[in-house]
Amino acid sequence: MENQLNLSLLPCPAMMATRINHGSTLNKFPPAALPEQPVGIGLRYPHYKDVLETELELGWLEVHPENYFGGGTHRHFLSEARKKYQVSLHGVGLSLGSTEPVSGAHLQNFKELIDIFQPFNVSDHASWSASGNAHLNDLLPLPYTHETLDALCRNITRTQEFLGRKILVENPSTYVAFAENDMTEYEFMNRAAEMTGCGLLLDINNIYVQAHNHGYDAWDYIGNINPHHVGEMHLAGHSEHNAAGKTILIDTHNHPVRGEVWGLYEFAVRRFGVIPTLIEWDQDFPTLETLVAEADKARAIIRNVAKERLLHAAE
Amino acid sequence: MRLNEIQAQFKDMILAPKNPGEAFVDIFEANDIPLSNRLDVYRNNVISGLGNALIANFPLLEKLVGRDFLSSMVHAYIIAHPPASGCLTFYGCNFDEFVAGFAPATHLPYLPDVARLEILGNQAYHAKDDEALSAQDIAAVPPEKLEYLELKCRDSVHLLQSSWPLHAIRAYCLDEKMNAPDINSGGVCLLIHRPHLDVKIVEIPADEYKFLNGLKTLRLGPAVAETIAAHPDFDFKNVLQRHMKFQLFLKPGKH
Repeated sequence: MENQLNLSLLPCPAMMATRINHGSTLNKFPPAALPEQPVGIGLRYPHYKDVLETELELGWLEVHPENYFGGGTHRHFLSEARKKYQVSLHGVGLSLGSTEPVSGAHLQNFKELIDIFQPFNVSDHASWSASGNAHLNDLLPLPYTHETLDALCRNITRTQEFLGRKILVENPSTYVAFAENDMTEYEFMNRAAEMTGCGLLLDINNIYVQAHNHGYDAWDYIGNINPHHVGEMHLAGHSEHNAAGKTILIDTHNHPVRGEVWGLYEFAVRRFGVIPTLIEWDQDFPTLETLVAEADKARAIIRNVAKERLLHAAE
Repeated sequence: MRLNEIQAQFKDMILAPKNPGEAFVDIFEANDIPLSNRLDVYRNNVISGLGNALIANFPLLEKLVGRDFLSSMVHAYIIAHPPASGCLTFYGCNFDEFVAGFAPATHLPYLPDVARLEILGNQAYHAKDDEALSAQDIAAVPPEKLEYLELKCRDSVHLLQSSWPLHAIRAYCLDEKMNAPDINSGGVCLLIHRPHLDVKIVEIPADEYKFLNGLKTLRLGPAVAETIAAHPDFDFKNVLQRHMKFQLFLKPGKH
């Protein structure tokens, strides 16, 4: 199976000649407010110039902070983009689910970006990637046990205390489940939020992918998430692969959002209301117009649900 | 099985070429998609994700040895040296040493230095945004104190000395129309730096290399003296002007 979710690939050689903002590490942006438009897109390298040069009906941008720990081109474009849009920092490197504590150096770099770019949301995942001296750069699966819940909550608390703010924690796509789980994933996510005060970032595509791979009901999962905790939603495209005659869904972020996932998203909007929603696309990049068209679809769903509610209230 | 053991074994399963033991397999729930296919998704995500990230940092090596050969080196490197941090920006910073010890590549003895050049270029590209020392800053130093000045290079500045014609090899890789350089045409000293956003790679004479290298540990006076001792023709004034134009030096006190 040739597939991967490329988390932190930074293309280097194609350098663009642009004036640097020397103050970018010193000046701070004004404190964030929740974006007026609820739908944003993940800002990735191939779209840097287009995002700056085009007037888009976009609510906000999300980036992986790990790609901006250094300076230069990436930091420069993020500074320019932040002048036009609110941003959210979505980590992929904290390894919150490891038994080992979150890296202090990583937190320090993360905090420096937060201080400068003033994101409205800060998040990472309910997964692990670090074990011993290796950091595997993927969102690896956790057994949903009391022991894991304690380890995850320790790291979420350490992170929130260090950053001095609430974070959101995202449900991962998983391809294996553990035989000795003490609870379902939605129970695990709800409890992590209750125990630490963190919010939840619900990835609707991940729920769909997992529900297929593990044979459970995605609508039931969403119906059991406590709406009070949900602070953001993600949408992305997955791919289908044949595994010994069975279909396995992989969260590849290289397709438009699938029809069934839009249906699930509509269900989630009815349950959780209007909250910031992100379109993610991480490989086989489309044009910016395609991404924006995906964002338009999400906005249309939000509008329809809101309209129905108004009509219902008027009746 | 305790969580730390699960994570250690999962890590070994991803990095080890052989299949995991039965005790590990039993911790997963069975369903009608074979477990091996499901574990392969993780293996592929990690190995090809890291592989693609590394390969993208070595376009010159790719041009010299081809994608397949570079992939095989990169995959062997990932197994031997998985990333140590959740930020991949500087992952692969000792890839040149690995290439030097990679048996199938020993017939290409210049490869490690080409790898080093690309590593330093990547480090310059992602170096922090520090501020350059200006001509006014230098002018403000009283003449009698100049020799005690600590001129430190900015985060993006790197030096590379090679016994291979790296500059010619690089030019050849970047321009399809060029003829292959004579590998035995002699070595080179390179200055890698990033005045603003673009990384520059400049060939410099041996005296400039010695001077800039000396500044890593010496104050201005001793660095100049040491350079002149080895290169009596060293034109300090001109060289310093050139380096100031390149914005090589760090403005003190602000970082």
